[in-house]
Amino acid sequence: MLNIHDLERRWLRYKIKSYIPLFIGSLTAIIALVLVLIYLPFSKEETPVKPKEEVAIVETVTVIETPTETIVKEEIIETVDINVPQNTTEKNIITNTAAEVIPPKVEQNTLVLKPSLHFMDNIENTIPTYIDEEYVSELPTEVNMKTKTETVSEPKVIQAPRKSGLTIKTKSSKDDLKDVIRRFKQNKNPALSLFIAKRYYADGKYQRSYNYALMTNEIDKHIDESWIIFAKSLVKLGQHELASNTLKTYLKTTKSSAAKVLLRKIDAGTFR
Amino acid sequence: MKSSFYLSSKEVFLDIVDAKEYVQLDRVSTLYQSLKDSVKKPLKMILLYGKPGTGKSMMLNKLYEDLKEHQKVVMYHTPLVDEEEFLKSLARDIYGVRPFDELNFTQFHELSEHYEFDTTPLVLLDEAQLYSTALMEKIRLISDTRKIKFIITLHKTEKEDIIAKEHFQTRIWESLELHNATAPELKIYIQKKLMKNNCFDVANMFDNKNTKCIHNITKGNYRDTNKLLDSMFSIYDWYEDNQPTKINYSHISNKIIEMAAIKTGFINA
Repeated sequence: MLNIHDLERRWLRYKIKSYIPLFIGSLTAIIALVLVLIYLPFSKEETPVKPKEEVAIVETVTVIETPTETIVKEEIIETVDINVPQNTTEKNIITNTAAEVIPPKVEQNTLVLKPSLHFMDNIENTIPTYIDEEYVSELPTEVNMKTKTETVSEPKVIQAPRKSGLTIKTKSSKDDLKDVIRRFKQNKNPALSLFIAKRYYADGKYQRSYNYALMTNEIDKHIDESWIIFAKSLVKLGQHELASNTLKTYLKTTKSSAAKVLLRKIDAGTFR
Repeated sequence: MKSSFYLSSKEVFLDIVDAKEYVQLDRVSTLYQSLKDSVKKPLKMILLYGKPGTGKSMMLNKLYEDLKEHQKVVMYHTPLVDEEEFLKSLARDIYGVRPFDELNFTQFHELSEHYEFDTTPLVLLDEAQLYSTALMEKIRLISDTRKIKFIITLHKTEKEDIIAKEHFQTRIWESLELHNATAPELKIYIQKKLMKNNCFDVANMFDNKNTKCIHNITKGNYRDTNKLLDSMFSIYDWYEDNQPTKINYSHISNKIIEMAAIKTGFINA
């Protein structure tokens, strides 16, 4: 005997069951679509963030490699929160990447790019880092003091110059001098020739120190240290009179106390 | 009168093997012609196999009906399990001999030597998978004498494949496989069956959606289709008697097809 009512109920149950997967599938698809539509704009906004980070990282790099004190001061303040890359030793490479990757900050970049020239102008400030232990023993306190006073008081700022100092120490001084001579031949920067003169003088190579001091004076007649090294080298080479006359001539154009002291010592014969 | 309208349709799909109800479909017709051609060939055995409900028995029955007028044909619908009974049945049905004493294989062989036919007698064995291995071996030996030709049907299962391999691999020179119907074939099958029994109105009520629904449920199996439609027309008959407003007389309702599937157990609801 047919029980149609029971059969109809079972059929209804079967139909509901058969539509459940379809319903769930459709609902899932709709929810997925809605979620995609909601989060798609956000994800698009989020994507450009990455380049920003890269820029920030590069900024720190530029800060460290620029020798100019004033720029260092500004740049370090901007990049305190960012992990400073540890490989700051390769200055030239870093400079290149900095120049390439910082398109958004046009004004700063021009400032940062120019420092490659400033670097040469202000090479005097970086010289102590290249000087061997004799010089380091004399000068580093001053240099460190300078950086400490001029840069921001935050500890991270101080870390960067320390690292560069450490890496520089590991370099061979002969190689450094050769490199500086090569660079001087290329750009005739008086700061470099003065550095070379000082190095040769310190090494007891007075003829060479005389030559480079002379070259420095020819390029720039107003560098006090260059005239002093020049005079000292002449004294060491036995040219006391010439050294004395040179300083006298120089003192006509300047009031350098160091030159006066040296002249007095040479004339008194206390400097030999 | 409407009640008899659905009841008569229901009777069309009763699960009986009747050659008169045999429905020729394109693929089945080709297969049947191949079977008839194989009978004419000097083969010892012919194997007809397929899943249950694919029409093996119906085809065998049809073949019997077609050939019995032209040659000696014997058909055994139900398996004869006992060897002696099987041999006695063959002696009686082929040679017209009714041995009162026991009849063993050697005696049957000697008996068969005394008879000659223009065309080799044909024995059709349905459900051959139910025969014992020993008896199947005897059947193989009889077929080797070329005094009798056998056509056997097997359900295609893993076990039955092994039987086929072990006993007939070297002897069966022709094997034919029957398949379930496709959805279009099923539609033709249903409509032809109904029209053969003068149920033209009901035959026209079936559309492609109905036959697709039926095919999804029965997978094109003829036996299952017969069972489903039998049940479906029972439901239609009930609605006709009790709630005729719920019936659409222009086409078959998929709802009622599915209800019939639930009733017959094809759908578990």
